[in-house]
Amino acid sequence: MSAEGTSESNKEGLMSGNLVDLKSGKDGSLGGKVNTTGATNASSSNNVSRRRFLQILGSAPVVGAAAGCTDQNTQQVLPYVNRFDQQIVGESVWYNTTCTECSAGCGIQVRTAEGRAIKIEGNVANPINKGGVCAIGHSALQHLYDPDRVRQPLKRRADGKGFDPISWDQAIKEISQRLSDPDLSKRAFIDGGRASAITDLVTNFSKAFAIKRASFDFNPNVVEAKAAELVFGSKGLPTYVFDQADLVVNFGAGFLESWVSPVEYARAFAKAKRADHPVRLVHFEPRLSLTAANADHWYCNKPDSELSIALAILKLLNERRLGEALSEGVSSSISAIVSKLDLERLISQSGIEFSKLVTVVEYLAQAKNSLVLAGGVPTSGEKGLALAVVVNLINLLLGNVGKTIMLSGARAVGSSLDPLLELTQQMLKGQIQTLFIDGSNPVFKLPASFEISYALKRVETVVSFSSHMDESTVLAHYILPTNTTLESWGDVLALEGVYSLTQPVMKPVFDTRDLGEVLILIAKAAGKSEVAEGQSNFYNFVKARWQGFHAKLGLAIDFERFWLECLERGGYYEPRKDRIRVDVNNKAFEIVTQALKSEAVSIAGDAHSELVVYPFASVRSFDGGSANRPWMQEIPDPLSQTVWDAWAEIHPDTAKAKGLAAGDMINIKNYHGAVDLPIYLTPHLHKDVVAVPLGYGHTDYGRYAKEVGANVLSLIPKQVNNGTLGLLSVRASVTRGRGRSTLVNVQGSDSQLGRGLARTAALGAVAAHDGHDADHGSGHGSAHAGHHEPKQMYEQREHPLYKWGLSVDLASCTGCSACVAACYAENNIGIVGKKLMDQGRELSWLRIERYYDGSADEMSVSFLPMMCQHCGNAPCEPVCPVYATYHNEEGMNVMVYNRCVGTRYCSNNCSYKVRRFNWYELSYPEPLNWQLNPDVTPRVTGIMEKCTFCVQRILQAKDKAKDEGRMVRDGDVKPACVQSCPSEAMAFGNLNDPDSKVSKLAKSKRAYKVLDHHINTQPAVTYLENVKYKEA
Amino acid sequence: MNNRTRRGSPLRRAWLGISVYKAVILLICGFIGLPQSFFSDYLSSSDVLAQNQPTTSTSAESSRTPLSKDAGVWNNGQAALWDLNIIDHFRLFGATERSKGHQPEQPINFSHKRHVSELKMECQFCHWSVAKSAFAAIPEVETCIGCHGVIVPDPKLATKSDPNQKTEIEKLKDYYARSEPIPWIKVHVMPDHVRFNHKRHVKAGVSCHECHGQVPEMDVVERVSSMKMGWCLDCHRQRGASIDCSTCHK
Repeated sequence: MSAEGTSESNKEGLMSGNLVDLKSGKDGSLGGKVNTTGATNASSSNNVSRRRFLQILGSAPVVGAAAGCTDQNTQQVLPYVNRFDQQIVGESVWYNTTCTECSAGCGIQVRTAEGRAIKIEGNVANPINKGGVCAIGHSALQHLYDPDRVRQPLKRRADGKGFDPISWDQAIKEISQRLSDPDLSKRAFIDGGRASAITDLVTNFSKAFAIKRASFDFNPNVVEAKAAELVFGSKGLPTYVFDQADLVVNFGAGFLESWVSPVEYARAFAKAKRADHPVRLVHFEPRLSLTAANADHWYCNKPDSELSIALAILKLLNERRLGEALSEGVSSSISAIVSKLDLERLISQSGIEFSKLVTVVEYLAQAKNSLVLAGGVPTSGEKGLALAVVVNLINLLLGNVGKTIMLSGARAVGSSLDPLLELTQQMLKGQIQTLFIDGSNPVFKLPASFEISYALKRVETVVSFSSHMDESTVLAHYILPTNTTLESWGDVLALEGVYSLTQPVMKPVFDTRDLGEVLILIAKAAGKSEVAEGQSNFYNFVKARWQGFHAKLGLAIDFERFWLECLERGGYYEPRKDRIRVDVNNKAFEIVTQALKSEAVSIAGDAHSELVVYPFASVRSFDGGSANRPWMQEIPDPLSQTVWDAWAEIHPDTAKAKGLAAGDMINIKNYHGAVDLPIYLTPHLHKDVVAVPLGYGHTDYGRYAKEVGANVLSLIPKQVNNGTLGLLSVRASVTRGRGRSTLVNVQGSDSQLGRGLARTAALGAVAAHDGHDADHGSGHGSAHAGHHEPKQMYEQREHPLYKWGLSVDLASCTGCSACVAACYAENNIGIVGKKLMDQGRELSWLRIERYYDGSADEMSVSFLPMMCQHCGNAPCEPVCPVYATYHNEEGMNVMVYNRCVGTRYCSNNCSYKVRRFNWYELSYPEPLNWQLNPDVTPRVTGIMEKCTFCVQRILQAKDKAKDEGRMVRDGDVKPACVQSCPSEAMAFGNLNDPDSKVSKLAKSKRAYKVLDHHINTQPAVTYLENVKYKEA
Repeated sequence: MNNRTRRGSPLRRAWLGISVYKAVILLICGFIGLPQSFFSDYLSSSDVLAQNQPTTSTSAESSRTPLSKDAGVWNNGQAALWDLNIIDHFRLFGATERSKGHQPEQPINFSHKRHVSELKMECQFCHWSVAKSAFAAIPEVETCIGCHGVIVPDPKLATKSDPNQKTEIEKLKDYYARSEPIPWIKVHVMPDHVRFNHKRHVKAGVSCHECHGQVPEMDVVERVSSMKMGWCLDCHRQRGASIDCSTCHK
């Protein structure tokens, strides 16, 4: 294969296609032995496995094309042996289940074709995400089909080097013997600990064998929950009703990217932004995060000064005599706290101008329904709890509880890190003999200073239930690989009143089992059958648990029907009840007073020469669990627009002072550790900060994750604040490192150069006028669609039945890149790797362009999802010498792959640069190729490809409409991007139908078409201007 | 790099010269139509097919109108000589695989003639998903066993030279006993970039034999249609079905 010669790094191993073997880290000989379940020889026709059978029957087109030229005379067509109910060959089957990539608990629907999961979409019935899915949620498929998964149970060799395969029966026998041995009574279990069936089972298991339990959750949100408990007297995290708010003041909570439930919040926030009176977002953070980029006003405060700002706001608000409804005691306590505050000192600590704070207070005082939030990195600090308490006091003062903060339907939070710390100490002292660990991977997700890897080495026997060779699992003695969520039974109770089920959507890809099943078998073998509460297997355990829910809910229908309905819908969702009564705990005020006594800035290190280390979770890497999924490496980070790497953000002035320049590798070093990272110069962060994304720098985990970037957590000290890892707690020196940066940035220009590609309408300073009659910024020209149609020289095309069109509302688009991931999944888009990305040879059909406009002080960030515009007057069409691209009757710009000869003229002539050329034939290591969509041909070398408006979905909708003898209705066709958009920014439909959503939006006052007024391309994609408030 | 190396070696220059000749020869060939006859089976759809069409040809055959020049896409929907990809087209879907008369040997000598003509079984009794899905689908082994669980080979018909040789029904039962699918060889192979939907054709009133020929009369299934694009388009034009590329090409 032509690509083989070019692959240098292991990230490009995808193209060589021969890396099926499992990488065991140190031991290379393992691969061949382990590779028993996954690989069958494709050429042998006698020994037909189920996989081979599916390959030929269902997705023969896909596999055939990927493999190149097969002998068509001997192609087989294999029937099923037995007939399955409801399974029609060629018709996909959908399963409702729940996403467990983070703790948000979004409902998902998984499309399966001939027994394989091939696409994830949001479950519209689920009250959390209501149909949206984030990028990481989509990539759960590549977690399932990860070629580096542990494919069968393994046992460490006697010499300690490498693993040998072991049978399930033998492994369960050996482990149960250890559990029955009275001499080995010191045991522990590290698990995720969120409310679910499996957590209940682990609790039973731990009780039965006297196992010490420690839960590990990267993002437990315990601080926010504790503050809510102190101030509102509620349990769990309150519900934030973004869609009711007209003002959100936010202290560092990345609610549009990584905080608590980003899909849910993005949807509600976008709804508020589309309202007649759009919501205003004021964001305080030392770095321009994705949430900050979507804010109307982003204030770059000094790191760890959020408490000072919040207190200043509280003081100013209190002076305005708000909060009359509050009880005497509470308002006097608030007054007592703020009376001691020195406003000037607070403001000098924050680095924010006084006038700006006054404006924010003015906004707050005038807003009808405001919402003040704190979370993420700022609340992980020492003063985090005080900050969260003050923020809640502000909410109390403004009367937001019951309006934008609902105390009912609270969200379950994770558990504190303290038990894990205690357990680590015991492990280090050699007091633990057997340790069970699930896939939560604390070795990677906690700083090295926690010494978890040393602690694991001091344990006699470590049993890992992870199905990935992650950093914690390589240290284990037994690896019992468990199913991923898409293969297992279970449930998730993320919100009060929201019961979500997970069900297997396909048979396990490898020789793996449900964690619950394994625990039940171990317990049975050790003679403790009470673990399963009298149930024979884990499925029955889950079902019995739901029988309990059914009884508790007191529903009229019988249980079997309830169970089937839940399986069909994805769970049971109670209608929300509101509870507003607030009990303020006096301890809340104590915490604030305590925090005031401590030092102003609690970050360790030399403030003169060292920079504050600011780790952040991005939409792409989150906590690092998605690192071995090629989509999540290949999709650019929406703000930095970099791929396949981690980076260190530094202000250009700071870099200049330290003698650093673009293209350098920098060495960030402190007492705890050091990392080498490529520099990323951006003026959009505080000068005293070096910001680094979390989740990179895996030392194991798989071919795509390994040695990509560096792990910023190695700089973080062993500090736990209120049960949360203290992310913002240390400084580090920054010097030039060795070598040159190989950071790949896919954004051509940061500036729109006055072309008005992504437009923003500025709203008035005080309040919005009706219908967004915004005053348009300069440089956009006056050409708006519909204002004055240009005269056409040629006869215009006619579209008798359908004229497909797409609309993208930039006011709703947050730049989260979920649509990009959906597009990769739906359209079999190839992964090219870092080197080819650097050469501009990426294959994404849909990209998020990011532009910075305005001055440094009044900067505005725009995101522009850019896909084929399906121009009515397309520049690509007349230049094709072989008629491979043409305009069809339905208004689409069609690309005929088998006619394309690869001149690339079309790409040269495309004004939007959305056409992608296949320079190499890409193949996928088994079983990543199982995910390929059989409705879309994978493209071969030498041809052009681009967005098709998901033509396969249009044809499916037409097929269904024809069966029912009607036209395609509005909403029948949802391309992958439209379906997955968490904030409902996109709409697709027939522009010929005046009542369709998309044609109504196309007539909106905010509608415009990119570049159309310059070059008369007549795109079918309409963009709606973003709406942002001007600074007062 | 200096000028000398850029000009290349004499050998290379000679090679370039020959290339020019090759191009000229190809052009001349193109004009005199040599390759035209060579590729005729691929290039032209109607004429060749009309002659070789078996007795199943419909009445539409006689009233077939010549392809109109503005009937849709360039060159009437056919690949052009100057389409460089033609070599690939030919390699992938070339004469041997794609032509009519492809009659592969199957793992079981299943006779459609026996089942359909003599036993009067409906096509959709076995190919039950043809009107429900894009795939007509080969029946599940269970479907065969549904009857053959009780129907045993006729000893009069089973004339075996070797007593150990298994009858076809025994072979079938063996597959079922091993829970193994029967590895049928494809008779009709669609290229990977073609989206063909059986359901739409059946619902539009196209009968099975229009594409598959008189299968009820076949002991061993044979391909009777070329199933090339031109062949598809002929019918689509006659019936006024869509000839938009994206309808069939994925």
